[in-house]
Amino acid sequence: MLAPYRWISDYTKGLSGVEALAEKMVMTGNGVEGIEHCGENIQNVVVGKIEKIDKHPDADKLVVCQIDVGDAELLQIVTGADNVFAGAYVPVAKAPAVLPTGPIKKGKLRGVESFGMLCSGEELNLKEEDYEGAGVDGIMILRNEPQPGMDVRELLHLSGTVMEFEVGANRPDCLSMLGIAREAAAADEKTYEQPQTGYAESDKKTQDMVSVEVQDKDLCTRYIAAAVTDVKIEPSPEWMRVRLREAGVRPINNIVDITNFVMLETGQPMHAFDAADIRGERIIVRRAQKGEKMVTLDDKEHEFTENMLLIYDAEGPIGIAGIMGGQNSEIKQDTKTVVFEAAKFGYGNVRQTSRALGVSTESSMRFSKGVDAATTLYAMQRALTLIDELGAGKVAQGMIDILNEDLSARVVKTSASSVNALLGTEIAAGEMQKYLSRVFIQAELEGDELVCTIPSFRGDMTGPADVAEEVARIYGYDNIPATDANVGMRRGVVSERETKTDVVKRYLIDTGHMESVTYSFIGAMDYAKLDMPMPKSVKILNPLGDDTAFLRTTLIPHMLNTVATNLNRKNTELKLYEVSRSYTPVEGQQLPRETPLLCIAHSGVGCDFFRLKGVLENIVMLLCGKELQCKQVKRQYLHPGAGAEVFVDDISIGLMGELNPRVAGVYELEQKVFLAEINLEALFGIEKAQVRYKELPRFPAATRDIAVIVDTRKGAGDLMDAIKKAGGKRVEQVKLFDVYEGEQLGEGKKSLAYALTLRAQDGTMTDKEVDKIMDKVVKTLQTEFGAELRS
Amino acid sequence: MNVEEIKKNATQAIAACGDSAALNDVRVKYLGKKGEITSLMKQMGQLSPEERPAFGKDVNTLRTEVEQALKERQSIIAHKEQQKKMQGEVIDITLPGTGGKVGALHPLTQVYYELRDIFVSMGFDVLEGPEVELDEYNFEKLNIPKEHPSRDAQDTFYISDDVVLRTHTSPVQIRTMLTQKPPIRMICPGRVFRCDDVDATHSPVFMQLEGLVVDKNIRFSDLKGTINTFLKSYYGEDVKTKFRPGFFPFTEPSAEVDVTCTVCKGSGCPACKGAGMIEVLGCGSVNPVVLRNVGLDPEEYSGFAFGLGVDRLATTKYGITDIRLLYENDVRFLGQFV
Repeated sequence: MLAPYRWISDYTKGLSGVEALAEKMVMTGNGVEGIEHCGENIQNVVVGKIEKIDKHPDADKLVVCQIDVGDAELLQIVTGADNVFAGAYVPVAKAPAVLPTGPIKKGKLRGVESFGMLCSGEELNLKEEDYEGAGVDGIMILRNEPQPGMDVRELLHLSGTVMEFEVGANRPDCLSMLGIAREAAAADEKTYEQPQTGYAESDKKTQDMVSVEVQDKDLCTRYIAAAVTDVKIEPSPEWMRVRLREAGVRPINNIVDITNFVMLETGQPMHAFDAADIRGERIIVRRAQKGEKMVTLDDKEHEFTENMLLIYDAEGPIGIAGIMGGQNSEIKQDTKTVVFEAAKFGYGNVRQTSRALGVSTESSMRFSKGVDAATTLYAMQRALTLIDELGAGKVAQGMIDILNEDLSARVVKTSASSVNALLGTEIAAGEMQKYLSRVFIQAELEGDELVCTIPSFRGDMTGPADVAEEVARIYGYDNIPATDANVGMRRGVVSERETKTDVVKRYLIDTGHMESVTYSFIGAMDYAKLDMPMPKSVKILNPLGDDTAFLRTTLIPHMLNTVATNLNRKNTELKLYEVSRSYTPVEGQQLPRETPLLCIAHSGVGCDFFRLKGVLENIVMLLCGKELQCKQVKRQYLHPGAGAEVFVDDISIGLMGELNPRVAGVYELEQKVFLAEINLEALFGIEKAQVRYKELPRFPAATRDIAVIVDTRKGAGDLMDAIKKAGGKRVEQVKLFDVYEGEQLGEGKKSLAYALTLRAQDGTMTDKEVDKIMDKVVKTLQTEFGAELRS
Repeated sequence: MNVEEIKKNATQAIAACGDSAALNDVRVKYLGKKGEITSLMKQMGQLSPEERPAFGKDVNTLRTEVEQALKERQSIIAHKEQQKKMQGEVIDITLPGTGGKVGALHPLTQVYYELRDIFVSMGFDVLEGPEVELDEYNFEKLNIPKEHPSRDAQDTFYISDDVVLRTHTSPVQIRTMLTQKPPIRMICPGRVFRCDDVDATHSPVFMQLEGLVVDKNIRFSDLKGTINTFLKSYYGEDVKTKFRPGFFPFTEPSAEVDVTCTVCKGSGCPACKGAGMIEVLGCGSVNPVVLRNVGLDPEEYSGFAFGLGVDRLATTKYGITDIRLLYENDVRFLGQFV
C-alpha cells in the first residue's frame, strides 16, 4: 500500500518526520516495506525565463538562448527544440544537474558554450495528464509565469515522500489513506480528522434516471447508486493529480480520478457508468449465466460462468462486480450524465472470479480482502462532495441505497484483568481505555469490565483476544515483560524414528558421505529416464511445471540428477545420501502414505558393489544388530548382473546395485554409479535386541579349511550361510579366503575356500567332534550346491 | 692359559666388538663347545682332588663374569643397532593421512539439529506430521477459511479441493491438540511447500520449524521469555531481540521478532538492508478461535505458538546469498559444512 506522506498528512496534522513516523508505525504493527523520496533523481532543475534567442552561427537547427534563472547573470543554453520563444518559462537543468535520464554537464555545441539543458516533460518523467504541455514534442512550457530560479520539483510537486506499508489480511481498512492516517494518529499520538461531506443537490432525481435491483443479495450486501448530471469532463485539479501520481495511479479525467481518489482515500472501490449507456435505465446485480460475454474497459473479452457476479442493464452485462467495468458503459469525453456505484460485494466471490478470469485490479484486490458497508456510504458521499467542489457536474437528489447487512455497532466485552492475564502485564483499566480510544475503540469501564464498541471498519475485531492485542500494540510490545512460563521441568522427547534416523545420518557422515536435499516433486519424464513405468502417484493440480507435476515415489531420479550435476562440474568422488519421504496414494483414503526413504549413491575411485553393501551391512548392524542378506533382483535401472534386493530377517528393506549402464548413458554419467534405496520404515521396524553380555570363550578353538568347486553362478555368501547352518552353533566363524576360476577347473566352475573356526563352550573339541561337523558341512554343500570337494 | 689371562683377553675382545656377529664369535671362542673356558673346565680331570674345588670355583667365576660382560655388551650393541635401524626409518610426516574423509550433514540439517537440541533441552517434544495434508488442518482449523484473504499470503499447491501440500507445519500443531490433552510443549519441524517459482530467495520447498505451548495460564509475556531464551541460546547471550506487532490468523496477539544482524552485529549492512536487525520468526498467543476449533476451552487454556524458516536461519548464519545452492547439492558446497 503506497501512502504519500502529504496525503496522510491531509487527515492527521503535525505528524513526525517520515523516518520517526515509520519506526512508530512498525512498532504498532504497520510494517513499512520502503520509503521512497520522489524527485531525488531531479537535481538543480529550475524555472527559467527565456530573455533572448539568437540563431546559432554554425548550425541551422540550433538556437542560442539567454535565460533568466534568478541569478545575477543570464545563463546561455543551446537547444535544438523549435517550440521555444522569447518570454517562455521553461524548466532549465543548470549544469551540473541531474535528470532521471542521467547527469547534465556543460559543453559546447558546434563551438558555442551551453551551460545546461532545457527540459521536455518526458525528461522530467511527466506525462500530459500530470501537467498540461508535458506531452508535447519539444520543451515543456510552464504556465502562470512562475518565479525564475524556483526549483521545478517544488513548482510541479515532484518531491514528495511515499511510504509503502505492508497490510495484513486482517486490516483491509488500512488499504486506504484514511486507514493509514488513523494508524499514524494512533502511533504518533496525533489527532485524526476525517473529511466532512456535504454537497448541493440539483432538482433532478437519481431514481428518475436509473433503478437498481439486487437479485443475489448473498453476494451484494450493499449497493449505492447516485447520478450526476451536467458533467463536464476535464482534467482534475493539480492537488488531486499529484496525490494520485504519488500513490501510483495515473490521472485520467475528473470523473475517473474522483473514483480512484475516493477508493484510495477510503478503501471503498467506486465505479462510474455513463448513464446514457445503461440500457433500459436499469441496473441489475446478479450471477452470470454460463457463456455470457462482455468486453471490459481494458478491451479484453471475458466469458463468464454461473458463479460470477455481474452488473447488468436491461439488455446485458455492463460490469464485472468489484473487478472491472464494461467498455460499453465507460466514461467518455462526451459523457453528460454519470451514475456512480459504491457497493459491497462478497470477498470470496470477487476473489474467485478475479482468479478465474485472471483479472486483478486495485478494486478487486480491495473487495477480495473485504470492504466495510458503512464506508460504502461515506465513500459515495465523499465522491459527490468532490463532484460539487470541483464543479465537475450537478449531484442529483436521493441516492439509491440497497442494504442487506446489519450495521449496528459490534460490542466486545472483556475485562482489564483478563487482558492482563492474557498479556502477562499489570496495566490499569483506565490506561487500557485510553489506549483503545487511540485506535477508535470506545471502551466503557464498568468496574473491571471493558465494554468496547468496535468501529465499523474494524471487521477483524471479534473477541477479547483482539482487544488484548490492541491494548498490547499501543502499550508497546517492548513494555511487556519477558517471563518464564510456569511449566514443569522436563527433557523433550524425540521420536524413535527420528533418533534412528540420526544414527543412520551420523554413521553416513562419519564414513564420508555428504547429505543432499532435493525437492519432493517429480515428472513423468523422470520415470521414463529410468525406463520404469510411472507408478500410481499423487498429482498436483497446480504444479510449477510438467517436470514437477507429481510427488515422488522414489528418491533415485533426483539423486542421479545430483550425481550428474557434480560429474559435469568435475566433482568425480561422490558419496551422497538423502533421507526424504515418498508418497503413495492409498485407495479409499484422502491422504497418501508417506514413507521415509534413504537413498545412497557412490561413484568414483574404489567404489564398487561391495563397498556400498558394506555400508548397508553396518547400518543394519547398528540399528538391528543383525546381518543383511542380498538376493539377486532385476530392476530396469539396475545392472542385470549386479542388482540386489536387501533383506533383514526375511523382511525386504530395499534395493541396491550398480546403475544400469544404459540409464547411466541417459544421464550422461561417464563413471559407474552404485545406488541403494532403503525403506527406513521397514528397517526401523526391525527391533534390535537388548544387549546381554556373553561369556568370553574359555576353551581353545579348532580351525579347518575347506575348498569346494561349484558352478560360477552359485553365491559364495549362500554357501557360507549353508556352512553356518549345517555346522550349528559350534561354528563360530566362517571366512571366505579364496575365490578362484581357472582352466583346470573347467568352464563355468569356480573354487571357493573357507576357513572355519569351531569352538565348544564346555571344553576343548576333539578331532573326532570336529570331523563330524566338517562331514556334515561337506555333505550339505554337496547336496545343496552340487559342490565337489577340492583335494 | 690360566684363568687370569683368559679373563683379560676375553674382556678386551668383548669390549672390541662392534656388532652382534662379532660378539657371537667371541662367545663361541670362549664359551662354545670348544671354547677356551669350556676347555679349561675339561682340564679339571688332570688336577688333584685337592686342587679341583678351588679351580672349579675360579673357572665358574670366570664363566659368569664373561657371560655378564657379553650380556652387557650385547645390550649396548642392540641399542646401537636399533638406533641405526630407526635412522633408516625416518618418514615424511608432512604427507597427508590415509583415513577416509569425513562427510557433512546438509547445512539445513545442521541448523535443525542445533534448534532441536535447544528446544528439547527446554522440554519441547519433537513431533512429525504428514506433508500432504487436509485443507481442514492446514487452513480451516487454523482460522483460515476457504476464500479468506489470509490465504493470499500462502500460495498453495493443491492435490484436490480438500487436500494440499502443507504450507507450514502448523497442521502438526492441530493434530497434536486434537489428540493430546494439555500441557502441550512441542516443536514440529519439516518440509513445507509454497507455489513459488524458484529464484535466489524463493524455493517451492523449504524447511520450517514451529513450536506450540498450551497449558493453563500461559501468557504473552511467557512467549517473550521463551523466545528470548531460545534466541540467546542460538545466537549468543549478547543478541538483541525486538518484538513487533504482526498478523497471523492463528495467533492473537501476534508478533514478528527481529534479532541483531548476524553479519554486521547491528551497525547496518546490505544483508539487513541497513536496519541492523533481521527478522527471524513469527509468533503469538494461540488464537482462541483455534483453541475452540480443536475442542479446547479458551477460558481454561491458553498458549503460544511460533514458527521460523530453517532455510532463512541457514542462509543468514552461513552468509549464503542464493537459496538455490541449498538444493543443488554440489559437493564443493556441501563439503564446506564439515
